[in-house]
Amino acid sequence: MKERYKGTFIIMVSFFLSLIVGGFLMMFYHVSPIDGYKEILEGALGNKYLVYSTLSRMIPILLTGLSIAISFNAGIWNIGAEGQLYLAAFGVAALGVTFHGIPSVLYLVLGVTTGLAIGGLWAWIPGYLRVKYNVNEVVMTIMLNSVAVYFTLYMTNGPFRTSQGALGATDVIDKSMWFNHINPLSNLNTGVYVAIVAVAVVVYLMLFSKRGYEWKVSRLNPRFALYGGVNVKGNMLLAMIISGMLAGLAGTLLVMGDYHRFLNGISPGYSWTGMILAMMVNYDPIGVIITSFVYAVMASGGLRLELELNVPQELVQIIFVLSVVFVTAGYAVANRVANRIQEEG
Amino acid sequence: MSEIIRLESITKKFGKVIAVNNVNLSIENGEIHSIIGENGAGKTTLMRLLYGMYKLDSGSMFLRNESVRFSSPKDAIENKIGMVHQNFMLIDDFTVYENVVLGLEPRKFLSFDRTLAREKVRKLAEEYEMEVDIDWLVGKISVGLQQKVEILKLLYRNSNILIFDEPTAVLTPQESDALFQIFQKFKDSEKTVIFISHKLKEVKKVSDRVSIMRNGNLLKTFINKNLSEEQLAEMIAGRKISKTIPIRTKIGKAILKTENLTILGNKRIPKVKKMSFEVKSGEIVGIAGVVGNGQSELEEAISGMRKISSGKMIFNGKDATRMSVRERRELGMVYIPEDRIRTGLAPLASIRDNLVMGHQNEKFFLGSLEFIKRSSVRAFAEESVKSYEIVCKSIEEQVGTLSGGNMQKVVIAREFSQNVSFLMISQPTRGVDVRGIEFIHKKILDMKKSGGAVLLISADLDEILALSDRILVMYEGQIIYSTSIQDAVSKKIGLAMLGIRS
Ligand SMILES: Nc1ncnc2c1ncn2[C@@H]1O[C@H](COP(=O)(O)OP(=O)(O)OP(=O)(O)O)[C@@H](O)[C@H]1O
Ligand SMILES: [Mg+2]
Repeated sequence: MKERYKGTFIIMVSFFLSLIVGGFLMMFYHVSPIDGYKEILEGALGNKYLVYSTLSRMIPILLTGLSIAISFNAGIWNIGAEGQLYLAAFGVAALGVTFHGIPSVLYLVLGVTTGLAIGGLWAWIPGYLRVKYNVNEVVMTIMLNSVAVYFTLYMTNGPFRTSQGALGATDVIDKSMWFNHINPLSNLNTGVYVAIVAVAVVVYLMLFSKRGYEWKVSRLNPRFALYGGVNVKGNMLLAMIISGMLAGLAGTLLVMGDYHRFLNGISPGYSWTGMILAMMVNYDPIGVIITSFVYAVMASGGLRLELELNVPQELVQIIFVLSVVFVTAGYAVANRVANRIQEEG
Repeated sequence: MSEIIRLESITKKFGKVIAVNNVNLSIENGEIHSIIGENGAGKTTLMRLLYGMYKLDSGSMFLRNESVRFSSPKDAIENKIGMVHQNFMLIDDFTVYENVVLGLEPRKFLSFDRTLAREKVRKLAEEYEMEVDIDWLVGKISVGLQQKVEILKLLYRNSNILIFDEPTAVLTPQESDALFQIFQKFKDSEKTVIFISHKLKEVKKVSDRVSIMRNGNLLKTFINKNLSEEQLAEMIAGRKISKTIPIRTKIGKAILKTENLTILGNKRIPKVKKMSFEVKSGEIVGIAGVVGNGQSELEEAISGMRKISSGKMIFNGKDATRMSVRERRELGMVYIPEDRIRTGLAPLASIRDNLVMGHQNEKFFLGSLEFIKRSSVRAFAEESVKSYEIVCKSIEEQVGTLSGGNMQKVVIAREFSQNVSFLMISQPTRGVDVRGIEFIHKKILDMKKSGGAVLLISADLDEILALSDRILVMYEGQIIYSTSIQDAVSKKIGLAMLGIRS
C-alpha cells in the first residue's frame, strides 16, 4: 500500500473506533449513540447558519495547523505558533484602538498586513538564530511563546487596558477595521476570504511548487538537499516565516473578525490542537484541512449534545484525544503488519 | 573440516520480487567463503536471512547440523553470528565505544559502566591493530573508520561466524589489505568468514571457496583455486566483460582551475593546503590517494558544499570561489559523491524525488510561479529507471529499500542526465558489480569524448590507471606527485600515496 493511503486508512479507522467508544460513553447518559451523533451533526451542520459557525470555528485551527505543517514539513520545528498568534493579535488590536478615520478597505489591508508581519517577524527571530548560529529552534520558540503571552498580558493590564472595566482585554478596535459578519445570525465573517486565500497559497506551495519539494527533501536528508543545490538554510527560514505568518493570521482574524479586540485568553490553545492535527496527517495540508473541519464539526456539535441531550460536551474532546491515540498506535501496528506482509510476500 | 552452516531450499520474496530463490549452501567451519553476483542478485538478502533480519518464506537452516530458526538478529547473535552491513547501522550521535557496546553494555550496579566499556573496546581495537579514536562521535569519522567500529561490534560480541557485506567497497587498498589480515586472524582462531564483494581480485586473493548468485539463485560453489578472475566475471554476468580501453581525445582549454586552494576540515584545521591544478576539456584527471588525505574536503569544496577558506577556483572561465552549489550546477558541474547514501540520496524519499534533485530548476520541470510539472517529472523518472535498469517496483518506492547497487544507479542516472561540461566523480565503482563498472567507465569515457572534463577521485589505483590522462597523488592535503599517464609507474604512485617521494 502506498504510504499516503496507509495514513488515510489508519486515520479513518482510528476515528471510527473512537466514535464507537464515544457511542458507548453516550450510553452511560442513557442516550443512544445514533441520536447522539445525529445531534452532533445537526448541531454542526443542521442549517446554513450552523455551517457558518462551524466554519468560523474551523479557521483558527486550520491556520495554526497549516502553520505547524509547513514548518515541520521543512524540518524546522516551530513550536511557537501560539506566541506568534498572540503577538500578532495584540499588535493588530493595538493598531485598531490607536488610529481612527482610516477608510475601511485600507484599514483591513493594513490590519492583515500588520498581523502577518508581526507573526512572521516573531518566527523569523528563532529561524534566523537557527540557520545562522544553530540555536535550537524548539527551545527558542517555546521561550518566545512565554515572552509573547506575558508581554500581551502586561499590555492589557497596563498601557492598553480597556477603559470599560473588563480586565485582560484591550478596547474595541475601530469599526472600519472589522471583518463584518457575512450573516447576522452566525459568527462567520468576511475574514474567511483571507483565510481561503492563505490556505490556497499553502496548499500550492507545499504540494505543487518546487519549494514544497525542496522542503520535503531537506527534512528527509538536509545534506542531500544541499548537495542538490537547494538553499537549505534559506528555505528553512522561509518556512519558518510563513509558518509565523499563518499563526499571526489566525490571531489577526480572531481580533478583526470575531472579538474585535484583543483578550488574554484569545486562543484556548489553538496552535496545540493544530499541531496534533498536523502531526496526525504527517504534515499533509489537505489532511489538515479535512481534520480541522472534522474537529470543528465535533466541537460545534458538542455544544448541542450538551444542550439537547445533557451529555457533557467534553465527550467530543475525549473522542478527539482517543483518535489521536488510535492513530499513533495505528502507525505502529501498521508498520509491523506491513513488514510482516512484505516479508511473507 | 566440518560443516558449520547449511541452508536448504531457502526462498525469500518481497512482494512479487523473488530476492532469494530456493538456495542451497553449505559453509565449512573456519573457511573464508565469498559470495559474488550482480547488483540485486540477492546476496544481501541471503545474508540477512542467515542473520535473522528477515524471516524465511520457506526452507531450513542448520547450524552445526542442528535445525535453527532465527526470528531476529538477537537469535543470530546469541548463536555467535555477526554481520557488518553494506550500509552501516551505527548511531551517529554516539561515540565509537558507545556504539560498540550498545545493547550489551557492561554494567555497574544498575548503571552503564563507561570506564569498563572504554577499556574493553580499547583492548579489542589494540588486539586487532585498529587505529580508532574510541571517543569520537561516529557521525564525524570517515566511512573507513566506521567500518572498524562495526567490526569491533562483532568482536565485542564474540561472534565466530562473521558476515561481511561488501566491506571493502569503502576501503582503500591498504585498508582492505589490513582487513584481509584481520580475516586471516579470524581464520587462525577458527572463526568462519562470509565475504561479499564485487572486487574479484580480492575474492581471488582471500577466499577458500566462492559461491555465485544470479537473479536470486545460487548458481554454484567453487573452490577458489580452480577458477580465474576472468572466469568469475563471466559467470557473474553470464557473458564476456570487456576491459576498459582508454581513448585519446583532443585536450582543450581548462574547465576547472584552482589556485592555492585551502580548505578547512571538520575540526577546523586545514585539510587541503594550497592546492593548484587544472582539469581541461577532453581530459580525465585522476586524484589518487589514501582516503582521509583531504579528498573528501576537496570534492565538497569544488562542489560548493564546503567553504573555500582561501585561494581561488575558476570554473568555465568564471570565478566560482564563492558560488553556491546551484550556480555551479547550472554552469555544468556534476558531482557523484563518495558517500552515495548519505550525500547522494535521501533514502526515505521516493525514487522519483531522488531522481529529480538538482534538476528542479530546469525549464523542463519548472513551470511559471515555481510550479513543478508533475507529468514531466514522472516521465523523466520512468525513463531513467528504464534506461539505467534500476530494479524497483515503481518510481514511488523508497530508495532506501533498493539493493546497494541499484541505489547507486539512481545517483548515476540523475547526474548523467544533466547537460555537463565537468564531472567530478568520487570512488565511482564502489559497490558496483562488473557490469556496472563497465557501464560507468564507459560513461566517464563518453564524457571525455564529448569534450567534457573529468576529475576522478579514487582510492583504487587500478581504476585511476585505467582511465586517467593525468594523475595527481594527494597526500596530507597536497599534491605530492603528478604524472601523465604515459610516464606513470604504478610503483611510484603507490609510494607517493604513502607520502614517499621518489
Ligand atoms: N527490504 C526490501 N524490500 C523490498 N525489496 C527488497 C528489500 N531488500 C531487497 N529487496 C529486493 O530484493 C532484490 C535483491 O536485493 P539484495 O539487496 O539482496 O541484492 P544484492 O545482491 O545485495 O545487490 P547489491 O550488490 O546491489 O548490494 C533486489 O531486487 C531488491 O530490490
Ligand atoms: Mg547488497
